[in-house]
Amino acid sequence: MVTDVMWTKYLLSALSVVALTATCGELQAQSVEWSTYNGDLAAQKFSPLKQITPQNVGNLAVAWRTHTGDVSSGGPPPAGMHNRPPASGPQADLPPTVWSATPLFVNDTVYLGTPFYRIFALEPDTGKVKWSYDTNAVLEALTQPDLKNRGVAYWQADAPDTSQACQKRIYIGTMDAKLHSVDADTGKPCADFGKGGVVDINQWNVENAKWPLSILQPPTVYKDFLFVGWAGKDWADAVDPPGTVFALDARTGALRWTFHALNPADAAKSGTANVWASMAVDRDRNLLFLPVSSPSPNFFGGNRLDAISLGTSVTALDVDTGKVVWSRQLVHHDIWDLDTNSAPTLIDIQKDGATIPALVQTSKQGFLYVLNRETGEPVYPIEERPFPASTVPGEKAAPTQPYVPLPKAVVGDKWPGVFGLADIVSFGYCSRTAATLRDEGRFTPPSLEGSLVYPGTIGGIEWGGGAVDPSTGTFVVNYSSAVQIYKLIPRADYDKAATAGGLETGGFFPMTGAPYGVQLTTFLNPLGMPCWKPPYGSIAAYDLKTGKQLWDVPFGQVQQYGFYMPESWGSITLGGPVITASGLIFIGASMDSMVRALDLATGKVLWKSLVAAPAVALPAVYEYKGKQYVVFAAGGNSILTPKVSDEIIAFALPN
Amino acid sequence: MVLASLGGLVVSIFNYFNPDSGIAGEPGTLLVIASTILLALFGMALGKLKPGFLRSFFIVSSILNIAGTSFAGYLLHSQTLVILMLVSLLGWILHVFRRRRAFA
Repeated sequence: MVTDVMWTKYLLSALSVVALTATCGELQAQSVEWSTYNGDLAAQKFSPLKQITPQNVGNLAVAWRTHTGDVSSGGPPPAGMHNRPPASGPQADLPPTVWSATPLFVNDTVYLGTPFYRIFALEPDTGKVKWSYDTNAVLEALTQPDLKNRGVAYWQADAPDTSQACQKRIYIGTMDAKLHSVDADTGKPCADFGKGGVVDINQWNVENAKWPLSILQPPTVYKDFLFVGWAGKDWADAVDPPGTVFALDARTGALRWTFHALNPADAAKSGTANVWASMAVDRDRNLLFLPVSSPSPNFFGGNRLDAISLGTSVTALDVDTGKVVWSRQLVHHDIWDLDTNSAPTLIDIQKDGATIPALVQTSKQGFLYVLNRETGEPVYPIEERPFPASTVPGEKAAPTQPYVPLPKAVVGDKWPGVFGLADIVSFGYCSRTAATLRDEGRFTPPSLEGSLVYPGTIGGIEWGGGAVDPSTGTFVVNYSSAVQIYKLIPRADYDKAATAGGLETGGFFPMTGAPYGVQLTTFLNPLGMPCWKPPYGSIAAYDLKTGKQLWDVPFGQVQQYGFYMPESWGSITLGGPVITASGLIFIGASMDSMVRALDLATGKVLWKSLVAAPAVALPAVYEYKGKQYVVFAAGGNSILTPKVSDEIIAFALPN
Repeated sequence: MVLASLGGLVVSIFNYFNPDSGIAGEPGTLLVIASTILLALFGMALGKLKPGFLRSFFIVSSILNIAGTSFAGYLLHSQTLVILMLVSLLGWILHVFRRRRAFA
């Protein structure tokens, strides 16, 4: 029975959504759906829902859970696995799975992509499967060490004709570069899309095509465009396919335009600078924002000493033409693999009495770049500061790098120092090793003796990026504090060791074609303990109106051999937060396989629940039949822990 | 002490095979399975041994086992195991001091 009080609550809730929408224009999430990877095209990761509050979140319970069956820990294929081509011959082991898919809730359905490249359509209140679609993709680690998927994308016609199929569509990519389009209501392929519902993105992989362009991140959908970036095989070669983004017609799959990150001269001697993460769209300004990754080879730039201006940048394109409107390079001459790795969050900032159309670009290097999204100019000053020179023959590190004093970086300029406990239990291994390494703080170049790199390619901040409450300008981001060692190995020595068979393990990567291979390791003692002081992962909040940090607390728990380490140590984190209008943060991301709700005002954990594996994707928040749900894909990632799963789990308040 | 350690064993075996325990299949869970088995054996041996070196050895081993298993249970977030180890400690105290009074 709907009481007067309930009606009043509904009315107030509806009014608040309307008010927020009026305040924030097109940037604001328009409904209680979660229709894109980041919740909305502005990548705010914000839900206007208020049913679950800091006061009642402790009552959250499992509403439903479903297992897709699409999971591998690296062993033989599961018995009765659905039909698909064998991986490198009969009965070959499957690669492990990494599942970073944000579920979508749209069209009254929860949609998921899986690391076996299947689409699932689920009932939003029960998790029952409405339909599933199998791409029959080859399950081989063609470019990545694991089978990966970050979800699916949704498109619908402006005025859907219900008498025709494929007026609403779901898209999923595969590691072998196929983009599939299916009807969102039935799961049947859309025959008018490419050939029989499939576009082979690899048809445009025409330069240095050493591997297929893996479509692991779902396309970004706006108007009738699909914006498609891709992932590749890093660290293997000096020269790789040059970075591109393709704009396709959402109905036919026809190519509308192509963005090239490298000019032809650079493309001949380098590669990548691709866009493997999600993108953002400013509807009002018709701009598409790309997080552009670093060029190859990733740890030596002697063969690409000319400035590659779009490498490791955030770049704005005109939606309709793909022309560059502006670009800001975040790392000059990147030799640390500091890919720009998440969609920038678009937010209008009230500052000094003016409204600034801004974006916040998070980064592996731990800086939050707050830029005017019309021009790319900094909202808070960015300084060019000098950093150490390279000592490697043939290399020339950039003499200066962009440095962001405000907002305060999530990680410091110096690594945290040797962790006494890790040093004692390893009989001084950590301090002895640190003394042999080159360490001159942030942006210490890779070296022949080995360099302490902090933050390294793990980050800092990973692909989850940050979330913002548009009504207050509070920005929240989780991050890791990880120290890595980059050691370049002269080609002759590397090849000799490779021939002798000593480089299969230990973090060796050839960078074939460069004068050096690389050994990249995380700075651990022989027992596997981090050699640097905790916390290893935290979550922080900022006031974007002032740039000031509001709070910064350790987040998650390390779990090793089943033992949980102290909460003050935090956990390396992968995956990002979402914010709700009621003042809550929902996030998985930690290696202890917990999902949590935090108080937006303080960062205090208000609720947590164990799931089957670390939830390394963004959760989705939606409302269906008057009930608010928070859904996590608990898939795991081998960077955190070997634990993987195929669990999709929804939480809601009890009736 | 024997009953509490057997209870700890059951709880730990359950945790090892229960995917919702958070410590299923983990080496740390195997460790407490082994330590609770040992503690049960120590407890049974203590009931039969007369004063002497061997009994003293088992008394010291038992208390170290209880302390270690309790700490492991704490780190594994297995509150039930920690409580059972406290019960086990109570049994150990009763056994040691009752025997002392009996032999005084």
